[in-house]
Amino acid sequence: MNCQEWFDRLYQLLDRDLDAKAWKDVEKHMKECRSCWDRFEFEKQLKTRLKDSCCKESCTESIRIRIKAIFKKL
Amino acid sequence: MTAIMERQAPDKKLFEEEALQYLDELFASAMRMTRQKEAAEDLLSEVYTKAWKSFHQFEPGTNLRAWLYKILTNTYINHYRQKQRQPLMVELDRPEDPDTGTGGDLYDRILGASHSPFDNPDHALANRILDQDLKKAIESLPEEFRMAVLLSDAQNFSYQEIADILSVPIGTVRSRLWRGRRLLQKILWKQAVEAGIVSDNQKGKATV
Repeated sequence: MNCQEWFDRLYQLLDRDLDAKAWKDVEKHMKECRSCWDRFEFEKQLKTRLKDSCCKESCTESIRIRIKAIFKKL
Repeated sequence: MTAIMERQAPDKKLFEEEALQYLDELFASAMRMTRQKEAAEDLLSEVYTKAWKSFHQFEPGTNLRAWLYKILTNTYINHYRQKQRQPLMVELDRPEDPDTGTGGDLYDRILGASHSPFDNPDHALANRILDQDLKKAIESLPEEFRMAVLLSDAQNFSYQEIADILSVPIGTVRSRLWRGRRLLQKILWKQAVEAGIVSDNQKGKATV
């Protein structure tokens, strides 16, 4: 596997959307190629940061009250 | 008929307990979709009302969270999107090659042109991007990409689950994620340039 072939599978690797054979191939390439390894680490961190920044947002008290009122009326 | 309906009548208390546990994350997702607190609240009210009305169709033991997200995305796409201002237009060059994704994204810019195996990009970079900039970047993405990236990165759904939620083939999910993430990195880079954190001709020495 060369770098371009690896890069084509970058996000499937990141999102665990690979079968066992493909998984082995991309892992093998990454162990041998520092720049692809670095790339993967970067993408992984960015994904984590996106999750952190987009999810840690509690809903407001007003919406909680509103939803509970909806439940009462149902 | 009545007897059957009664026997199958959904349990409101159960629904309330189960569905309410996702309120915070659904709200966060609704915020990224609508970009406005009031609209996010209206959207969620409608989602919970619809969810209850069709709760009898929900198969116990299947994924309630994915089911609620499907209602959320469908409701947003069908109703709220039309009422809202158009998605923020991202004035960016078209990706040089959206399929291979080469050129112009955040990582490539940091690395610069050399791309030698000895380059060691700043791994902490992703950790130093501010929450507000990440949110802004996500919210700037065109809708089809935004949904896919949100469902994958923020909500951790599998490709198959995202395909089910968005009612698109799994190949479409892969391609939207690919292009959406490339575009997101371009937006982040543009924001960093605009904020004066990096200069546009910087190569390999980003100090974000």
